Amino acid sequence: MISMLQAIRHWHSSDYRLVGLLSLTLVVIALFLVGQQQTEMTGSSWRRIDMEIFQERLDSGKLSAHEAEWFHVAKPAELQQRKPRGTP
Amino acid sequence: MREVVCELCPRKCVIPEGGAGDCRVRVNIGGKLLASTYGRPSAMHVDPMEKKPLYHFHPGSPVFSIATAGCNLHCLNCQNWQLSQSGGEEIEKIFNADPVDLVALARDQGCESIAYTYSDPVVFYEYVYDSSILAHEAGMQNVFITAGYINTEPLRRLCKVIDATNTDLKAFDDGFYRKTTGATLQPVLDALVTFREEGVWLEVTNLLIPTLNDDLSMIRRMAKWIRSELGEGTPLHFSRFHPMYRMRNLPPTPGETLDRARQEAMDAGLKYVYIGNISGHMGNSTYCPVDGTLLIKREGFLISEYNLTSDGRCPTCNEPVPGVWQ
Repeated sequence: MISMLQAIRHWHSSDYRLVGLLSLTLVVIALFLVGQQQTEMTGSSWRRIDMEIFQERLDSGKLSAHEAEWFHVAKPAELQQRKPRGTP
Repeated sequence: MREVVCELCPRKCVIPEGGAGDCRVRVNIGGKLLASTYGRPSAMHVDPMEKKPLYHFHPGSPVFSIATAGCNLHCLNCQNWQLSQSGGEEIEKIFNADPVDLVALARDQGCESIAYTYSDPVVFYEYVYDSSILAHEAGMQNVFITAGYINTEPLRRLCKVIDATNTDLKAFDDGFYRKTTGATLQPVLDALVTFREEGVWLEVTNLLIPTLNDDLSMIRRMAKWIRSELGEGTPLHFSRFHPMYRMRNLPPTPGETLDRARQEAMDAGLKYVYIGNISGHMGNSTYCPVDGTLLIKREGFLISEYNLTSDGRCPTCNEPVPGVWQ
């Protein structure tokens, strides 16, 4: 413990900057991971899909173009709620 | 950009053109929402009714069981994640079976009922609805195996054409729902009440996951809610968890935990409480709540003894047992 304190006393200002930078990086990574997890869990909105493959499958009949029920065209107020899930 | 709002489930996804809902299979093309897996199941099997599990609905009968890709929940312990957590453009195996074909296929396989199951059939609602009408016209039954995460209006309409449901009540805790499934509790409770109000035969399943939802006081509250809102004769199935998908860090549910949960639910006043996923357990069988007579003995999904009268009563004391027996 004492030798650690002695080592810190002998740090140069560049060492502090390095430690600060490392800490900041860790915090950013942690925030990113927590954010990812929250998005994954709550799943509140839409997803991006591979439209090229989707369209191919629609054209070949592997998927269906049957119109869904229970939807309406979005009103302006509803558009503000839109949040992409961001999955490719 | 012609965005649409999906009104089917409580997420109410606002979907831009070329995007899909959270379920991955309801896709906005040109300002029109497509049910892209309509008539395109990715799983088709003949199962025993007991596997759904439905223990008080045509026991011992085979049920033609189907599912498409997609799901509106994202359970960390999903058993069918390859199917449920994929979109139609991602999954390899897709059959072509429009409602007419589906009913014919089920008949050919000797089934008198069709189960919409495995993933959550909420996301292929239109396929379920149209197939169920045709199945009824052919004298067949429809069963809906779901997590119950659906809005009330579409559910009420669906209830007119389905005959039975086993609905998951994954925990009596909103925090669990949010963390483990990505959904919320209240819409599921509303769906359970709607099923009951609409006269659909209802059984409830609760998968017990060690440390996450096996607290006995929560189980007691859940059982009391079921008794007061759905009725004391509502079958409740406690199911054993096995490590799966993104939840491989927890052990399988110990048998004692399931036993204690069953006892707690029965003490709370529920008459038919079962234990699932443990073959040969006495909690798989149905007993008369009045005199304890063994009414239906089950070993795994098989019925080895059937003692109910033809009108669904205990042969010893004549107590009626709620269910659809014929």
